[in-house]
Amino acid sequence: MLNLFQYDFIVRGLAAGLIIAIIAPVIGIFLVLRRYSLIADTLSHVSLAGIALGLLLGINPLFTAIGATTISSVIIDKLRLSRKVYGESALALFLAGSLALAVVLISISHGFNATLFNYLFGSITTVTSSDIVTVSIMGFVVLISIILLYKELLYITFDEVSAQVSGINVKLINTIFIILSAITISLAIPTVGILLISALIVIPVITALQFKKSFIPSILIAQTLSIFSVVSGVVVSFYFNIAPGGTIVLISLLIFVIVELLTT
Amino acid sequence: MTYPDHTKNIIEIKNVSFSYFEGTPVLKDIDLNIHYGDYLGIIGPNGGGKSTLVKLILGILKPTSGTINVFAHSIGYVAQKATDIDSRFPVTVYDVVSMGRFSQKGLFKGLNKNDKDVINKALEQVKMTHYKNRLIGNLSGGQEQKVFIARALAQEPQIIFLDEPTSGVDETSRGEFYELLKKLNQDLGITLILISHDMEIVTREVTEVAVIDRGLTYYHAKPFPI
Repeated sequence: MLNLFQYDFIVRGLAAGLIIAIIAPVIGIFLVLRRYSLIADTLSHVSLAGIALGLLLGINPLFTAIGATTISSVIIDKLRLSRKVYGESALALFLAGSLALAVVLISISHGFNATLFNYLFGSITTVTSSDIVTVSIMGFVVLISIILLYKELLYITFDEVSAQVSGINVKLINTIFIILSAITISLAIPTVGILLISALIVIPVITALQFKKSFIPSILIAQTLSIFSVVSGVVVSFYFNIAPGGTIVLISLLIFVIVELLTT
Repeated sequence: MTYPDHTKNIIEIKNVSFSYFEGTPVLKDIDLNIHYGDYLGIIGPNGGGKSTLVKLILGILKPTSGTINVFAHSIGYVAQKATDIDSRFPVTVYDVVSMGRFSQKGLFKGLNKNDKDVINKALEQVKMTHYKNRLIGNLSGGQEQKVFIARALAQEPQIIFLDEPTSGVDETSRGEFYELLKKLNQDLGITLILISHDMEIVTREVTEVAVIDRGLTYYHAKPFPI
């Protein structure tokens, strides 16, 4: 074990991973229960376009990713509410559009393939010291915001119409929530990679819901599973020299299967 | 308690029309006054615009023309069973009832002792105190609807809207449910608006009835001529 922590990049990767493991289920439980899990996938593709732009312009890709996902999340929600297109159609438009944009941006600037590969599939070596600062600050903001808006979010997620009738500003809360989701997704990129973010946001929550506990206990279970997956994923990937993102997600899936077998 | 003044309007609907798309009005020129303490039944054929009228009163939809005034600071809403509500949702009965306090607290504020008293009283009123730590999904249809009544009560409402509240609820629980509503109306003076397609229930339970079929086609207070 001593071996492992000698490497700064491992410590950084673990630190970033742990923060994500704590905030991802907090966002994820609301997304899963609102049947909106797929927005995580869409926004992760949007973040690819943001990252490509950042690499092209020489800006920290984490910032451009946060910008791109935040703006897109607000537009997706507006489109969904306008009822001009179906909710899933709004997701499909952005999923395809951002991927196309990302591919074009990548082709304009040849030669950042290796870096891009890391962003796609996650590599703890991509986590820089400044990333840790960003992930910590933004992670803290996301967590505090969710705690402060917890009762409104719970009501809206459970019963949107009654929440609105009772006088809660559903539109405002929904907009804030979707922005917080966008930020969380961008923050998770360095650790698990764009293609696997939605898994980390959704799988521990789905597993936790199998225990049939009330809301806060479900979140705590999901966070525990998520922390376990990230830590064991990083350790396993280090010793076996395999991709951490994929390892983390496979471990969380394995936990789901075990829990599913035990609870039925 | 003070008894409600049945001559004063709590909801005034003036000349209200509504259409989802231009040219096909769902509701046309509705005029209806609902008084403090009324127990109004709204009946009418499916697609006649009952639910649309309720959505207009609740402010979920905006009328194409006309005005609606509601003189109440808190409105409770109990929806049809099994619509919108996910029975696998991880919340306890107590959590659901406490939602009734949320909007009055405002953002960033937690519930205090007074809120908890109101929540416990609401649970008591619907006789669901024993079930408060159960998950909402582990209740029968009738119990579930009582919890939603308790949530509405936790809001300390002047009006409660009930949209087909007993569809899918078994016969025994149904009787108990309407007993409870009668108590809320008579003992607490809460104005109740019951939307139903079940003529028998409506004529037996309510004190005023309005028939909505695109327009207001009929309005009468008890006793109803058959």
